[in-house]
Amino acid sequence: MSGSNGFEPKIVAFVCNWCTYLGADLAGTSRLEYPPNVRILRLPCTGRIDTNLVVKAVEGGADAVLVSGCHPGDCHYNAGNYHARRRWMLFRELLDVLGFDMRRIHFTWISAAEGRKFQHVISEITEQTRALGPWRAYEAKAEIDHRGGLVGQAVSPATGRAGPAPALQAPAPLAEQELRDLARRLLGAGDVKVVIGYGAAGPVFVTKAADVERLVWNEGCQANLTTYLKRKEVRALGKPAVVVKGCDERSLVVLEKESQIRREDVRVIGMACDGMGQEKCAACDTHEPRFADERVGKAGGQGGKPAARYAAVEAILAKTPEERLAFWSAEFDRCLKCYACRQVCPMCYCERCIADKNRPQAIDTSPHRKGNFAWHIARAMHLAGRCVGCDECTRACPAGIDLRLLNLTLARAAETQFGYRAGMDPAAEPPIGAYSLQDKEEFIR
Amino acid sequence: MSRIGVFVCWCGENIARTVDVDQVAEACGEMPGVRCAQNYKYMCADPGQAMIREKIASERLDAVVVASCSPHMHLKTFRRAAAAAGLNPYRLEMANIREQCSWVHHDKDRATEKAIGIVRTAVAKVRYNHALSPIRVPMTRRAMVIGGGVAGIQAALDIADAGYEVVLVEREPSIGGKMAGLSETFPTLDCSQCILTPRMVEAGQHPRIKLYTYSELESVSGFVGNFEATIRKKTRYVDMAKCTGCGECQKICPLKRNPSEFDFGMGMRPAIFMPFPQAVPARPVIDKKVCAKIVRNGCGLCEKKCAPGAINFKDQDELATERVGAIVVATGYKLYSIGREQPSAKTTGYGEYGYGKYKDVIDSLQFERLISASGPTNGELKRPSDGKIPQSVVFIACVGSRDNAKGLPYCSKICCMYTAKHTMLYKHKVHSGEAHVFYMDIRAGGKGYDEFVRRAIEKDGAKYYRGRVSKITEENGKLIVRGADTLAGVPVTVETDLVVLASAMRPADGVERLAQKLNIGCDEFGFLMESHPKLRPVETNTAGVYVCGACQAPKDIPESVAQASAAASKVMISFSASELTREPEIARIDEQTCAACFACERTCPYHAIERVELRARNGDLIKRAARVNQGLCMGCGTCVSVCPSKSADSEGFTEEEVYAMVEALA
Amino acid sequence: MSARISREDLRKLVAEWLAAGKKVFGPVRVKAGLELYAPLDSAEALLLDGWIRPANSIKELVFPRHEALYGYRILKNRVELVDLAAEIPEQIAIGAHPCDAAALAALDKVFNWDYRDEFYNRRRAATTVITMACAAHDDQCFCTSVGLGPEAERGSDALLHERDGGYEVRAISEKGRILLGGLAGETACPTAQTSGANTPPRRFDSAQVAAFAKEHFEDPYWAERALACLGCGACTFTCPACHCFDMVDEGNGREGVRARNWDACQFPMFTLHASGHNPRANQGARQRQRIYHKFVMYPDKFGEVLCTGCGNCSRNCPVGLGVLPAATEIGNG
Repeated sequence: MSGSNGFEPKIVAFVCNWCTYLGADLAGTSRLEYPPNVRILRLPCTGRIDTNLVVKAVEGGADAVLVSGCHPGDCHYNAGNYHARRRWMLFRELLDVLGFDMRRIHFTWISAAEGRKFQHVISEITEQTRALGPWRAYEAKAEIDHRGGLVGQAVSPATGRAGPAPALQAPAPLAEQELRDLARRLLGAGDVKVVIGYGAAGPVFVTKAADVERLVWNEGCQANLTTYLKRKEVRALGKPAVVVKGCDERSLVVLEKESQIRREDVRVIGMACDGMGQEKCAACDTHEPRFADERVGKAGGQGGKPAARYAAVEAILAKTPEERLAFWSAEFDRCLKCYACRQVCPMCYCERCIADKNRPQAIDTSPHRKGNFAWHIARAMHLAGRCVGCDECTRACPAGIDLRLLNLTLARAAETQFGYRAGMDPAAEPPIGAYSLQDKEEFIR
Repeated sequence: MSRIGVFVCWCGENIARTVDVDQVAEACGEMPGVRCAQNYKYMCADPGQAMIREKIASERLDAVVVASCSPHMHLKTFRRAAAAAGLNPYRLEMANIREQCSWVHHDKDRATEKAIGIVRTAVAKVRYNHALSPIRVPMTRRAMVIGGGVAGIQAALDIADAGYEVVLVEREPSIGGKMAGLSETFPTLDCSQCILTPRMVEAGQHPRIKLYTYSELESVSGFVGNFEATIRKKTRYVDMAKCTGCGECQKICPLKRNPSEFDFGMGMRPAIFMPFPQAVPARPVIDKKVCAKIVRNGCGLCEKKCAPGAINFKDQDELATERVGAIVVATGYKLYSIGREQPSAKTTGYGEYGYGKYKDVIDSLQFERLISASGPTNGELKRPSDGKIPQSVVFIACVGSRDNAKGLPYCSKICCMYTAKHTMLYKHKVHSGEAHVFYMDIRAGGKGYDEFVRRAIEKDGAKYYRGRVSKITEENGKLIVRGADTLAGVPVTVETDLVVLASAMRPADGVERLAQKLNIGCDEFGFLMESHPKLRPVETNTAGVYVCGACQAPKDIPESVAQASAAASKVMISFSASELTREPEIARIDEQTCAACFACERTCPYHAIERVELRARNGDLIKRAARVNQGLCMGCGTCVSVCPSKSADSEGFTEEEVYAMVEALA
Repeated sequence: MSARISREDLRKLVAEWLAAGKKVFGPVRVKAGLELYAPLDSAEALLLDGWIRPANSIKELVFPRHEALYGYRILKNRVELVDLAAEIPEQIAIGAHPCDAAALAALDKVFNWDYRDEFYNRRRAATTVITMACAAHDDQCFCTSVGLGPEAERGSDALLHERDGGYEVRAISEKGRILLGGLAGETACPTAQTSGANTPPRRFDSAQVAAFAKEHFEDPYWAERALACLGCGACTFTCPACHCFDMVDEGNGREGVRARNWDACQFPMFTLHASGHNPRANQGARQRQRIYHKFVMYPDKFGEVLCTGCGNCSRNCPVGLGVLPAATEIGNG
């Protein structure tokens, strides 16, 4: 039974209660023998199987993971498996870019009648995993310096992507004056209580018409100020006007969809923008604000090159999984868990972040490799189909982690699989929370 | 520290043969939190259960793990035993070491090791299991039936006869549905109206049935046992209380040439009309699109004529509210609109048959009216174009059914039978006439059904051709039907006077909107989804909402009636207690940490998420949050997965329990 | 007497240390625009050219972001502790800034004033800090405003001055002397400068900062100043002197480790009570705390400011906050 080296893989199977668990029971009542390497965890539905759980199993030393539930159309709860299918699709894209060994992550539909299929699937996975050997690629088993110290490789492999785009042209001083005039008018008329805008040294909160000169508009206005709409200290100031660029404005669409803001409670000042010299600006197609209440300036730049939007993802996918994992290990080893990425993100508005929940501790709080992988996977998954690509996380990260690449990975999946780009079309249905009977499932056995 | 008892079952030899149960019990005894671990030959037998009860008491156990068979086999058994000893039953877990261990492995060492691992996960989980109590939901013992056709009438009468009040909502001016317009019914050829109208009257006069005709469901809120339905009573312009149903208004109305809906355009009716003489309620309604008084403030003769003064041109739509505990949907069907409808959007289905272009190409329901004794021709078969008695009729089956290219892929089920019936009725009326039938297959499963078709062919001499019709043209007042007889392998051309198309059955108009209001599902063709095609054929996935009749799938009268009675009995079962008891293993949301993104609401298959506003004592809004409706949640836990902050959790499988299990594997 | 070493010889020296199995940390370029103190895998990786202010600090050598203290096993009726103590290899920081080195002196006090933190002390004893006097500064540097300077010695074991393509070397402590042996001189660099291109101007008076903080504890100034603050830990985690930590148990139900991880006063969770009450209820209180700790509390206890003027908090702040903007406002009369 055992491999030549005596290695016996540990296989963790997350299964739904109504189909695959009963399929496994049927294998038992039919006395269909299979290797004892599998541990079955029963959950009500595949819809309940959170991707964090899979990560936890890998952290715990699983050599392969199986997730299995009812065939499409058979879900005991109508649609749990459809929701799960969508989530797995995105999750797989993410793990693939991270360089996980995809030969160890399996998805199947096994019905209550398919005892024999259960037997075959478990036997096959066990054999295959035995041949692959222990899953040491993932850092959980890597020999990390658990006692701490400065960790991390000094040099990370280049991602092979073009450098940041130059600002197309310096933002016009005219626009700055127009913005100040507008802010003066809004504050003077009492339409808004505060104008959230850019200042010379960071965001400013102008509450008096006399202070509008503090507002600036220049090539340094990179921040996405909509993130302040979630902060209770800012909310306490009263109705805000927020200065946005076309790209930032997309987050307002998502925030409104997710009931975080009511559009009528926010005055939106849209700035035409030719680029702030950031990487994202190269593929920008939102130079002009589209939904703003007030608009300032006119963009001179042409639309972005959407083809280039996901070039960085394609570049990393051209590398081998081992190279990808090495790259991300080096990136995440620099993570301090300062949570600048989370705090700066307009979409991270939870009152209590999952990372701060300790019953149970789904994500290790420690900034070691394991905890950092878990955190960045969870964050990317939470932003799947929601991230508008403002790249604030990347800008804020003091450790220079290439976070935008994670977000781009899932944005690319959302666009290619579901034709969805977060924050572009207020009428579009977000991919998470919905499903289609036509969703692809070639990765599911 | 927990006080967990572990009980390892031998299941006779079933487990003990492959798993060293002594070793398992010994290993369990060393696990953190385990107070005692024992094994026994048959845990499920009385002595085994007694052992569990005894240990719960003597060791003051606060949780129990039974390592034996599948929880699908005996979880309830052991939970009952635990409850009998005073332990909350949800503090008991099972470790499946039989179906998923001893029965599928042979190597005793490895099977034993695996069994220990399986128990370890169960022990890890049970430490966190919450003590739960069943959820009780108050039950309003009053039902609403939507749709007053034969299925709806049957369901309403059954429920009302059982002693519960029923609200019956029908959007047409009278109940009766399609069946009221049929001539005679297969396979007995008894008169449709003769059997239906007494039931209609019974429903109309039943002390516990409240009839809303010419009314539609506006909205529904609430959940099982506690629905609140808003019903729109459409403007009738006739005061139902004052009207005596004398019919004088219909006689005096000068605008008499309006196509009758009830006759599917085969006959005419005035602007104020009762759809048919036996209508229930026997009250007319004014067609506001036609009536001269309403359209241009003229006429008004009926108002003057009406002795009781029941005509009220100032009438307006009214909204009524009804509280009910269960809803039965029986909205029935319509026919596929030949030549117009394109559900698959591939082609305009069957435009080549000239329906709508040639007056003498009609559909099956129109034919029913033409041969019905109560029809526009008083039962004398006259063709629409010139009123001549057709000497030859061609019946074409499967128009729109079983056709992936031009129509719908499914079989409409009843067309074979009523086409055979049509040929018989025709031959009975026109003895010299020729009945030709083009069919694909004859599907006559049912009591007396095949005999009936055989009778049509063999006794009444209907000519059956197994083949499709490619085209129908009109020449010199005759219809030329070109088809094929694939059994003979020859093309067939029939010159005929009348063509009857057996169009496919489709769900009634607006059923998708209704389904949305009720949070129930439709299939891709708009038929309402039952909860399980075999085991829960009348339930839907929204608790408290049931389906019956042709709104769920094409079916004939006996099946519709049977299903209606089944739905009624389900309603009555739910009414058998004043409270509904539900499993407590459902989702809950921590409103303190909920960020009110409502991802759960978008995802929940049961629409069980509600939005709540948390307010301070002075009424100030503190925050918004999601809340689980305990009457609707089924406990799938999909909300937990999509909740970014994990404020949602599912009882029975809480995050703590599940992570404890995963960590126990490490 | 000072001694000189050429750039080539300095790299050779680093290579020798590495060959001898010592862990050597120094500024490296991780990617374009990102320099960090990191372990050197070769002497070539050490950045010597141009003035570089790494985005982190060398405090990680003595106070790692994550440090497992001991392991535990949960047995049937008891918990067994597992000693994880391991030899800390000799570690050398080369090319540290004076503002990094000075912070170690501040940390020494915190970790030894009442309870002597063996985990800290063990690493500290194994660490030798060879500082590079600053050749330049940027507009976030303010060491001169907190009593330090580009050539300050505090916390260093040896100091390098870049001169004429090479370095003048001076040992400051016994550790430095031992490590560098005959290479190092003993006296101050004769050409050392106390002002010039490498010296940032005095940007504020730290006594005034302290006075303002004491007198305006409840001032709305703090809340206004903190409006832009997003509550992340970028400032504290990249600060050479911030030293708050959190204790966590990590493991499965049977075994695990107790570890300490960096924590940040800017996190709302930092002071959140189990009851739900939070004594520092808003970001203003948290920003005030950081200034107050550095300019009032620590000095009250230890007689010096807990800020070395490196400017990392402002450089790493995504929204342009940090010590300097606040101190400039409140520390200039």
